[in-house]
Formats: sequence, structure tokens, C-alpha cells
Amino acid sequence: MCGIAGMLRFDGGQPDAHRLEKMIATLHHRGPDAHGIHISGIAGLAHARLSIIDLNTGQQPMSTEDARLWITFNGEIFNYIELREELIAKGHRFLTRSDTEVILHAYREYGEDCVKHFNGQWAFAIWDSAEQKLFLSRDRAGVRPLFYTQSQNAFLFASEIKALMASADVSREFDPQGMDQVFTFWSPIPPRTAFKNIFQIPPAHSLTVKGRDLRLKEYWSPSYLHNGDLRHRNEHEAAEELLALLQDATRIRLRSDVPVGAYLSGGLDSTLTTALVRKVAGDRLRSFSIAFDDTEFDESPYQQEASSYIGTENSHVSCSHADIARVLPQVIQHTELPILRTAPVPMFLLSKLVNRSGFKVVLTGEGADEALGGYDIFKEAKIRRFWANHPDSKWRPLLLKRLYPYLSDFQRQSAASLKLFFKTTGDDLASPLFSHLPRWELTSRLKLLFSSDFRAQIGGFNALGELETSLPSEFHSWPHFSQGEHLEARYFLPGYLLSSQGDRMAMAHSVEGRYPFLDYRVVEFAAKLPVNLKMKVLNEKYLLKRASKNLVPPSILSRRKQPYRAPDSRSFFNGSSQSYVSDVLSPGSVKKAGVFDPRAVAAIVDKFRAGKASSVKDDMALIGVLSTQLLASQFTNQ
Amino acid sequence: MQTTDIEREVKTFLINNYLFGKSEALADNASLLDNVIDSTGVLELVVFLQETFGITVEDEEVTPDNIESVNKVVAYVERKLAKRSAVKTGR
Repeated sequence: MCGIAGMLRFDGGQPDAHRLEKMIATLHHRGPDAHGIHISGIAGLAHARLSIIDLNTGQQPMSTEDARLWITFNGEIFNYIELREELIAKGHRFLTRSDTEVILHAYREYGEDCVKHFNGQWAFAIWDSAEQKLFLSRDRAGVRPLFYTQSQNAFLFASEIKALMASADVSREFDPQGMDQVFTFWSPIPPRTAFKNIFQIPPAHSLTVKGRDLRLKEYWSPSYLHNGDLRHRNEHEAAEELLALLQDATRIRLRSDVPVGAYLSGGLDSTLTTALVRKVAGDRLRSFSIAFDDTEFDESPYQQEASSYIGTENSHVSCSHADIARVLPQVIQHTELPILRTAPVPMFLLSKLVNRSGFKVVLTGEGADEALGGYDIFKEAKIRRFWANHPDSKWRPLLLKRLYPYLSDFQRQSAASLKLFFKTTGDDLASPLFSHLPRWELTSRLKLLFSSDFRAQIGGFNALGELETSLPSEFHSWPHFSQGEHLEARYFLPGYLLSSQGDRMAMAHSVEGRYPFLDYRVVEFAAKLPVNLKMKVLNEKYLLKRASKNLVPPSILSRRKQPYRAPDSRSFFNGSSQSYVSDVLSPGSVKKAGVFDPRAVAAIVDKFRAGKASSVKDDMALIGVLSTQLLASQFTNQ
Repeated sequence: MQTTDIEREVKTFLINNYLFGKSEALADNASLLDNVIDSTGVLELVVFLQETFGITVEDEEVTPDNIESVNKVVAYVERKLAKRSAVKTGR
């Protein structure tokens, strides 16, 4: 895993090596083992290396033997061994054992379609000096980040926004529409980011840059059109096939020249991942967990049980309210985005533990909930739709009580009040965004905090409307359940989970996460499953549980799903708050940053100080404001 | 308690509690359910009504008829207060 950066001059000049050095220096945390720069005509590539495969000859930027193609690459191509053999059979000659060189030869053989041959997680740029073309690509799921911008005389790209901002002529302002998306969907929708004129390549897309001409192209899109194609297979066969795929996805993700560990949360997905690693790798395995002082969030007993059942040596980091308040500013330095929950913070502490334990690579369980029917939001949508068919039913809304058992406020509500808020209208039912409307509408209420100037800059922009028009053309033919799966996998997963909570937190401490559930073969298989095998009535991840039954402790198989969460606002107003909290939330700082109305921020802060805030919305408001204010102080010219 | 007092108390609570102090975001007849109170915040309204006006809000009374707008909340509180005073005076 590494950090990459580079530039392409539009004016025929040569990129300035000093400028490239400044950019790559900001990514030292992603690649502390070596730095490299190569300038070839109008293109300059830079690389910060975290050595994982081919420790001796895998240095970058790397070129083909004839120096026509140069690459800077962040990530892993897990099927590089098979691809290498395939390419050798076609006459290619390799000088190293690295996956980086495989990309170069695959590009030479297959052109821009080379990415369709890769099974992995990547962000790379290839400079084709003969064609005078820069080819950039990002993996299917969006595991690895890749940002770009254009200045007056150059195109610039990098793994993180801070590297682009290290270049003097890149603007440092919030993008009002990107921020409007953050306060709707929890993350901007690519190519937008939270910053003006800074963009990101969407997952499963490539970008070709020739002169000033930029061409963005989608190379893969999972389709649910054939949903149910695997209906003829009985449950047993389907479970066997899923397990075999996961086993192979794990096997190729263990390809590494350094030791590999596993994250163990105590839930089904990470326990199965850890069990598969143990099964495939055989020998001793280190696992890593987060424990919370606050028992509402702590899953230690399940982690210990999973660890002893599977046979791992488990280490954990303890996370207190004070820890969350203490490291939030560092976390925001890495998320480069406002966050609405503190859940990334413990992930930051966890990667620190992994790094200090001498590990660079961990396998983790992300991706199962999206592809295999794990989320409460899918259940919620199912119940809302089921109820809407008989709006006067007395008992159907009571099913809502089955949701969110971990939210005490929610459980205390009467059936009458649940009916009020989840009552579905005809318009809602007709919306392609049906599954996510309650979540997005709740989050959108936070926009009331925006200052009038900032609202004016957002103008008539309609985040939901824009998203609706960008859905795939076949979206409307998919089953309702799969429409929700798509919204989750396409936007929330890469935009927040794999980024703010994933890559950015792990790479803050030079740790690479690998995700067997995001192997595209697993995702494509899951898309063809009948939906009732993913969620049987309200039993989530039905087929996955079946596939896991000989590998995971029965108590973990049967436990109620508890989403990973961390203490939010209570970390900041408990009598021992950090001084930066008052500073960045002061009316002066809020006015200077320009995003929020100082009066509105004062109102929410007062509510917390008085101990009167208790709703989910209040929590999100506070964390959203605090993280945005930190971001403003760290990244903008406020 | 006068209608205007009840209305003022209710509005102040709604503005401070759900609208980050922004009074312009609250219209008398606008739907509180669509734009003001969220699903996890309704309990706060119930607790507020009970504590401020000394009434008991029954589960089945949490309906659009009673809490859909400021006017409806005020009318609901008035009905409850009237019922309570009727009980007290033995009427």
C-alpha cells in the first residue's frame, strides 16, 4: 500500500521536481518505506512506498523495459500471479516479481481494458509517453482513493487531497454542493468532494487525460437484472458456492511478503473472515480488536469468544470518551471530509495498534452487509413497504420495533409515534430512493445549521434529485431490495465506510486493509442470488450465516446484529473536554469558516452543555459541526 | 394558562430543541412531522409537554391530530388542561 501523486503539464513545460516532492511528502504516512519521483517530458509521477510485495525490486515509479510506459501505483492486484503467467504465455518478459509490473504489461497487452482483468484494490496512473496520454484508474469497489484537480497549466492527481493542496495554485475552499451532499448522504457523490475544484475518480472508473481533455469512463457495474438467476440452486449448494468463493477471495488476499493479520469486531463478517484466514494460512494468526470503556458499544466478550474459537492471538485497543475527544483533530486531518459520527476515531486507534505490533496488512469483513443483505436499512425499507400495502394495519408498524434494538430511544417509542414517522406516502413508494429516504431526510435537517451565505451558494441544488437522475438506466427494473443494496454499495460504502472509516484511518498508520467480501466475483455472485436468500423475512444475511455455520461460534451466528458504533457527543461534554472544542465552536471561528450560522451552532452547543440533547439528530449535528470546523481550520483559507 | 402562553412555550421549545434556535424555520400550520421533529426526537416533545404543563401524554395520543402542527399541539394541551381542571373541580 502506498501513496501516489503526479502532474501533467498543459503548456509543454517539464513538471517541477520540487513541487512533486512537496506533494509526495504529505503522503509519507501512506508509504514510509521509500519515496520516488520520475519526470518524463510533460509528465511527472511520484510515489511513497509501503513495501508489501516484492520488497527488493518493486520500487516505483516503475517503467517498461523500453521506458515507454511509466506507472505510479497504490494497491494490490491479487490475481497478479495468474495474470503474469498469462502474459508470459503471450510473450511478455518480466524483470521483477511485483504486481506493479503486471499492470504495465497488462496495459500494453489489453490497453485501457486491462482493468477488467484485475482482481484487486487499486489507484494508479500510467503515463504513456508514445501516446502522450495519462491513464488513471480506481478499483471496482472504491477501496483506494484517487483525487484530481486542474490548475492553470497542469493536471494534478494524488491519493489524498492534502497532496493536491501542497501545490501552491490549488484552491482551498469548501464546495457548497459537495457539502450539501455530505449533509444528505454522509459523503459527497463522486466526482465531487468537499472542496471546490477538487474531484475524485468514482469507483469502477478510469480517467484518461490527453492535453486538457479529460475522459471519465465506467468499466464495471454490478447488475441486479439477473437477480434470482441462482434460484434453481438449492440453499445448500448456494451456501457452498458462496463459501468457496469467499475462501478463494481470502486465499489471494493473503499474497504478501510481510505477515498478515485480521480485524476482529465480534460480528459475523469479521469472524468469518478471520476464520477463513486461519483456515487458508494454517499457522498462527494475529487478530486485532477495539474495546470500548462505554459498555453500550463494547463487544469484547464476542471478540474473545471468536478469538479462542478460531485460535488467534488477539490484541485490543481500549477506547474511552476522552480518547475520542483527544484524537478527533488528527482523524479529520485524514478523513478530509466532515463526519457525522465518531466511528472513524476508534479505527484510527486500531490501526495504530496494528502498526505498533509490526503488521502492515489486515484482512477485514467490510462489504458483506451491502452484498448479502445485512443492513437494518434494508429491513426498515421492507417493513415500510409491507406496511404501505395495508396502511391501516394495527400490527404491521409494530414490526418496526424489531429494528434498532440497540437504540434505546427508538425502543421506548410507542407504536403510535413509530407510525407517525414511518408512515409511507404514495410519493415515497414511487421514489427510486425509497429505501434511503428516512435516513437522508433526517440527515438533511442538519442543513438548517448552514449560514444564509452558504445556503445562497448552494442555491437551488437538489442533492436527491441529482442522484435520482444519475442512477443506472436499468435501476428501475431491479427488485426493490436490490435498489437499496445498490444505493448502499455505490455511495455509502466507498464514500464513507471504505474511506473515512477504512483506507484513511488504516493508512494514517501505514496499514493496508484487504476485503474478501469485496472481491468482484463475490459481489457478482451475490447480485444474482434471489433476495430471499440474503434476507429471509427479517433474518439478515441468511445465506451467509448458513455458509458460516462450521466456521463461526454458534453464539456469534445467533446474536442480534449490532452495527459498529462509537460514543458520539458524550465524548465532548463530559467535564474533561479538550480546549480545541471551545475554540473551533466559538462564534468567531464559526463565522470565519462561513459554513454554519453562529447562532444555530451556539444553540446546539448550549443544548449539549445543559445536558438536554439526546436525539440522533443532535448527535449528528454536533459531530458534523465540530468536524467541519476542524476541517476548515486545517484545509481552507478561512 | 392562556392560549398565547402555551403557544409561546411550545414554539420556544420547538425552535430551540429542533431548529437550532432558528425561529424563521417554524410556521404555525407547517407540518412538524415533515420538517421539524424527527423519529428519535418525539420523546423529547412528550417529556416537554408532561414536564411543562403537568399533563400525562398517553401513547395513543401521539397522533397527527395532536402533534402535526403548532396549532394542533396547543389545542391538544388546552384540551388536556381543561380535562384536568374538570376532574379537579369535580365537574
